[in-house]
Amino acid sequence: MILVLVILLVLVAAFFLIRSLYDRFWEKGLTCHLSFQGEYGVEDEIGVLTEVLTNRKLLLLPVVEIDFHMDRRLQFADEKNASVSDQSYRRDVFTLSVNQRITRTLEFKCAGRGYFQIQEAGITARDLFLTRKYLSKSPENTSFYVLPRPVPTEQINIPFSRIMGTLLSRKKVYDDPFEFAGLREYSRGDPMKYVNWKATARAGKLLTNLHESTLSQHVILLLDLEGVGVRHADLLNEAAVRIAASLGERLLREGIEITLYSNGFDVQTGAAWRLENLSGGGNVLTLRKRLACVQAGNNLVPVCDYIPKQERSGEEDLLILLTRDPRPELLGELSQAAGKERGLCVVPYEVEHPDLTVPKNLELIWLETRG
Amino acid sequence: MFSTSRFATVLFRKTSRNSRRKVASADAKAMVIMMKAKRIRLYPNIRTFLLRLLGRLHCALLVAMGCCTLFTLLHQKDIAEELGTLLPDLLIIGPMEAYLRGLLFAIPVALSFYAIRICPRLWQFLLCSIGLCAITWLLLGHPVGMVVTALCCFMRARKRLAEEIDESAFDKPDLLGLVLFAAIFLLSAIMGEVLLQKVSVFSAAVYLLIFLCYRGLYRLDEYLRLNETVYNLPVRRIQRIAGGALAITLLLAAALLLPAAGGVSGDFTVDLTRKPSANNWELQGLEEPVMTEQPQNFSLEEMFGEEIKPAVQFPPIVSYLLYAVIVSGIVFLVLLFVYRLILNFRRSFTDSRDQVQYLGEEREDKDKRASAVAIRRPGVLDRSPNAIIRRRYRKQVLHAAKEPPRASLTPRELEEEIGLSMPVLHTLYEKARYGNVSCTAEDVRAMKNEE
Repeated sequence: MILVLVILLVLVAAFFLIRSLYDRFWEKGLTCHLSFQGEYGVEDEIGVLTEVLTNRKLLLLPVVEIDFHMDRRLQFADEKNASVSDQSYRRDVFTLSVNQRITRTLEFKCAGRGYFQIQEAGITARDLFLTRKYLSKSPENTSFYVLPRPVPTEQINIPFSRIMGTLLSRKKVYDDPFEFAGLREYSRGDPMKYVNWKATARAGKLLTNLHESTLSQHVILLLDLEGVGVRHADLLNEAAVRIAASLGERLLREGIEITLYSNGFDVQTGAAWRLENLSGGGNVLTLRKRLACVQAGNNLVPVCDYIPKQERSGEEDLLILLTRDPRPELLGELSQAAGKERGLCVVPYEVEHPDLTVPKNLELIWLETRG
Repeated sequence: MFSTSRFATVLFRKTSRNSRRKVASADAKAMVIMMKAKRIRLYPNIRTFLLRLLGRLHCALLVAMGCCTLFTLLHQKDIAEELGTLLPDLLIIGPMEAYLRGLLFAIPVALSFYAIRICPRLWQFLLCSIGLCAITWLLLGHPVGMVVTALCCFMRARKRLAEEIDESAFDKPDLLGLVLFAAIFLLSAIMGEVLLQKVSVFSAAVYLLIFLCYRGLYRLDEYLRLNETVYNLPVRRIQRIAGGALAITLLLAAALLLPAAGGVSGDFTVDLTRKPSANNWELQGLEEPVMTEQPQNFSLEEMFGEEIKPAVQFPPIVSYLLYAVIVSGIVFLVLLFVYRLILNFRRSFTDSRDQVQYLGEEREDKDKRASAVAIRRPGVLDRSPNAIIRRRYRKQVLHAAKEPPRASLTPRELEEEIGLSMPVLHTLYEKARYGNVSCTAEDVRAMKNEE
């Protein structure tokens, strides 16, 4: 009888020993790492999030739950594990053996543009017999850009006005002696300095050089993101951002220097969003990433207030306003800022648009958008 | 016309018979579909099956213990004499038989569980209950079990009327059940009933194991049921790990507890006839009674007054061999199980969309790489000319060098560094270590001649 009691005591002691081992060491060697595969994706594309859970110890963890939240614009394919309200709250369950690592990949759809971060993940574990629950947090540092998807902008004609620059133009105003275009026969009145003597010796007749005409342009894009919360406003604001991205990319690839201002705020810094003096095709990705970070709002400062004063003095910078609501006061301010130069106002619309009267130095372009 | 009408009649009968057959088979199919639609699933999964089995066992164990106690009391000398005249048939059943037959109570408990679910009306369940009571009497051999069955059916009906969804006490072990065993143990100690005491201790140990198993399994089942909608829930692995840990723990506990509980002598007694009194003991010159354990020097044979001879007698050598084989088999199975378990833990595999990787492989790869980088010395038992030459060279170098040489040095650089000059051994070593052709015995002689 005493032996039975002793054995019972030993079993009870063993149980409490196991429990105390778990109480003390459950978190040791347990790491959680969340990371997005790739730095960015485009709207409506599929991205991948990787969850890596590692248990570097000799304790079994039959149940480990990882929970985190992120913006609901990233939609997981399996929504069963996610509770979607203001954000998407996700919980995944794993089971970890001794010295084991589990890697799980989750696909998600980039439903909306933006900059998304996961900064923290919660870890919930249970002991061997599921009697106790342990909680912990794991700091994470992973981010993902969803870039605005490209939209056609061919109908937006950029009027090039400045001459003697670096952009090859079909409008031949003045020849650039540094840009060789070809050869033609000498005609009366051609300057002798343009005669190509080597080609002449080969051809046996006088030949002169042809030169390209180059222009340069600095474009200022003004992105008006006033109004959020209404479906129609959100849709058109997003369309304006896509147009700004596509147009900016086109301008950069054509070698035009651009500056972008917006009355929206930067989600990364919290300050007013701006991107100044961007040039070169290599900065297209930078442009799109920064545009992914701009956020619309209500009761924002008029976007024309963000134009620096030197641009208001009437220099030859092209002003392009992108807005879903071409209000008369906004158009007036744009006209004033454009001065002697022409300005463009690009307005995305969904179904139909009204006919508006605009100042003479402005051109209004309506762009239809579909969802 | 007659033939036409007859033909038509025959045709009608045939078609109607066929159609009736079709209708009958269609009815049967519809019945099966309806049954499936009603979701009368006996065992949704293995966990539910085990939980219900444990629930039956707990109930059966309690009833068996009760029956054993009752019949032990009935077989008390004074009571038996009275009953012998009134109900002679009742004393045919001994306490041990009552206990074993009491374990069959699991059957009516299980049948009542399914009857309350299958019977759409309560009056149908009432009829089933009467039948179950009869079955209980048949199984247990006495009408006492009918009372428990009737109580069980009553509780189930009450639960159904109240639309309660909690498990019944008849299906769910509880630690309070151990109180019954403790009470019976004390009773046996007071009455001096050895068999009852042994049975109560052993049954209490079994009941404790059943309770622990049920609780562990219930926790696991509850967690899996609550999270069954979670995508990619690793149900099998959770069951394997948590269930396996529970199973191993209970097996170990059973291996320790049950033999100890089964080996209880049953001689623990409590003597309540003389109550302690400070005034009386000294006056009467009596010793104060204490609870004692009697010396374990009596046997069942002395108690029952007859010799118990084994039915079949084996020669000792056969018994030893049999025990050896059984023990070896058990040890082998245990070792095999442990080996498979370790292999399983060290596996890397893909489960659904999870890549599961054993981290020990990283360390093993590092060790392998480290050993690959290290110089491969000839084996201790290697007596080939290559090995002899290499060992000799190594010995010479280690003897001449003040500290272990770096592995990155070539033999020539090493010799220059330590100032060693042995051209023949050097050439032979390069041949043995790096050459395509192995050294021969003549090379070994040449090496020895140089020395």
